[in-house]
Amino acid sequence: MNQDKKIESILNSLNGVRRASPGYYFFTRVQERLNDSRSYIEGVIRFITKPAIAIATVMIIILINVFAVLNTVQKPTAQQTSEIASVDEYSQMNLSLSDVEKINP
Amino acid sequence: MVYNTALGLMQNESDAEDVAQEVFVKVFEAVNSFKGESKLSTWLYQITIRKSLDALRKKKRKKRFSFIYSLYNENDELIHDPPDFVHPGVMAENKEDAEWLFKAVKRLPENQKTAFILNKMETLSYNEVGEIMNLSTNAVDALLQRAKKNLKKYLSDLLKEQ
Repeated sequence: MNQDKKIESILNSLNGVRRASPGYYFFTRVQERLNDSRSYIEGVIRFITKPAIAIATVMIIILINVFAVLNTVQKPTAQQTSEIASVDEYSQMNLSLSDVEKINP
Repeated sequence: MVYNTALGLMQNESDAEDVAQEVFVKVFEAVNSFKGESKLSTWLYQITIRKSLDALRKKKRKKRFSFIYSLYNENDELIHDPPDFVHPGVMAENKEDAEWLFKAVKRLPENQKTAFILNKMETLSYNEVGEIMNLSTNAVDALLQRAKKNLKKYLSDLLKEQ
């Protein structure tokens, strides 16, 4: 009974609670953080838009593309290889009508 | 409002300040994506809750792996278990009881804790809590009933342990 009363009093202990406010200089710190994040983003943009970096990136992309194209042209895929093989086998097995007559007179 | 909600959820003043700072940075970055479909305060509360719960999860993860490194700082104080939290806005005569309450609130599941903090500390109506948590008024009512039931159970256990 006593414990129930205590629990009820604990549950009501937030009645009339006032809003807490952050410490001094909180907004200065937020502003500083905003400036930091802004300068970080600006720094990244400045780095990416440097002519040397931009040209190098474009060159790398072109090289990757050239490499990919050359690789695809030179090496036929496994499926293509098997297709070529089966066509060769078929042409060897392709019997003429006279050959068939010889087998089944 | 942002700091107070973060403080209720984090139960630590410096953690709450960090979260509040992150919220303002996020608001600054994402203000263009705010379409005005809900109230600005609702949007702010949602960001604050998300950031606070993320910070709490991160803290819990760190705590789980704390066996790898020292639990104490240079002054031999526990790094991860600060002394019991007392909200600075609680009336002087309720401070002791509020300390118990916050200990029990800490054990609540995330959604019950959020609804309880918004309703009790931010004194928001069920309707407003529902808007923030994307729940119906009835669902908020049920959530708070469950929170109260759980708090009673936790408090009873805590008082017995004493």
